[in-house]
Amino acid sequence: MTPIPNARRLFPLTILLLIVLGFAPLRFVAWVGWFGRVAQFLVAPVSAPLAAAARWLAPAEARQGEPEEVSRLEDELAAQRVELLRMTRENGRLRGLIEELQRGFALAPDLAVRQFAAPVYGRAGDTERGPLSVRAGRREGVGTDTVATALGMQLFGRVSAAEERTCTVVPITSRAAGPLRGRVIVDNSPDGLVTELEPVGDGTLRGPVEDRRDGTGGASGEGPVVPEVGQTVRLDDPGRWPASAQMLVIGRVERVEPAPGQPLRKVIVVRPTIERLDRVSEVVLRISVAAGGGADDADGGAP
Amino acid sequence: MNWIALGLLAWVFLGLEKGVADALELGGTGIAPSFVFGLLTFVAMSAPPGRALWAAVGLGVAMDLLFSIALDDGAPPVYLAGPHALSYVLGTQLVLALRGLMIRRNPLAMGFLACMGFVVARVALVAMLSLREGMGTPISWNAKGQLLAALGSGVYTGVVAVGLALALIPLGGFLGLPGQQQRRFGRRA
Repeated sequence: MTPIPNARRLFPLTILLLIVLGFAPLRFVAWVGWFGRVAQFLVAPVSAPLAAAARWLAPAEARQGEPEEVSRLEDELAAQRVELLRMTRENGRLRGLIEELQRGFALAPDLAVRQFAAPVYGRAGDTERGPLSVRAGRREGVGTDTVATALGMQLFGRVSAAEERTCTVVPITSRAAGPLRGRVIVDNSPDGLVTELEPVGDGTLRGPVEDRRDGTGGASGEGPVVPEVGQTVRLDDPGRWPASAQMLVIGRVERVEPAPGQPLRKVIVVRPTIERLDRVSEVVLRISVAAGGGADDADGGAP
Repeated sequence: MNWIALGLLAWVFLGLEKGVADALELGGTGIAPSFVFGLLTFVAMSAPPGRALWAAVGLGVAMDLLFSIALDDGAPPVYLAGPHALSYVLGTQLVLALRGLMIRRNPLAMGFLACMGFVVARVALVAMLSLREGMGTPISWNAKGQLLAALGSGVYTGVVAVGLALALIPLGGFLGLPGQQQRRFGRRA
């Protein structure tokens, strides 16, 4: 191979250029993203089969060895539960809307969701564990804030960046996902205890839970309603998540601890029903479809 | 050195890094091997210093372009050209400084150099991103956790590099690396 002319002089200049690019304000280096997309496109054909094989050998699913029929029925049951809770909640909302309609407000279009499975072809980041690269993009209607679920009705996360053929999905357990509001389902009603959860970084979410004393808690019915280990926590965050994500499962309560400095209040630690969210081999993307049939991801109060 | 052959191997190793490295992570510790640094160590053990440093820049830039940096609160991830490239150059410098003391064709030597070089590269990467974070970029990560994971990942990369050496040393001729064409594992062919 012929040596690169002036390579010795070019090298310090290259290092200087890399230092400048590495520390320049983000708005000046946004164009690097285009090369990033090209790199993803080039490497995906190699990484996709390798990732599929690796995830087959080290799966994320907590239900290994379970008969297929049982898994299918459990998935159906979970889907029906989500539907029931969502309908109950929707019922209450519609009652309010009818009242508003009578005052002249317009009804929002019906919620319709198109779902499809997309394979994971690798991790998206080298420093933060969690964000995954998925083989589905704008071509399939994926946009930022598109919701992703994993096995059953487990909320996986949402899309943080969508390219033509690929997207980056940030799991709810990743620090990059930010806080989310959920409800601890106490008695199969959607009116559970409100909790504000934040990802810890070890695969769990942690946060304070509402202190409710409405005469339904405790053995005598007079104490506070207390969250218990094993109870399901579902998403109820219309301000930050689209309508299609509401009431999906965030996880189960793993620990209940007294709040620091407030011994009468509780803090819960929630773990998703899938042990390692960052090792799923595929995710289900839920794209909201507008009344006209087109994809529309701005169906909720997402930012 | 045959840059086309290196490009082909880099393509495969970047695929391994993207698709397989996280599946080999030890529990939830963040300790995972780096295949790309294993390849770079192999190149740096035998190539002339200038070529090895250019290989470090090339592989580092490829890593920068392949892995985005997550920002806080679900903001779109960003790509930065520089952090991996600069850290790989520093790691390669260490390998170049130590390679004279090693038996180059010994897989264990490659494992040791990969371990040491990766730790240096990772610490440099954490330092650069911490500096960047200090300048106001809201990077979503735990720098302290990254430093602890860097030590474990260095050892893990070293162990994996011993295995990689067994596959890469016979490919020395294909890569056109001097010193790798005549001998295998320290024995004359």
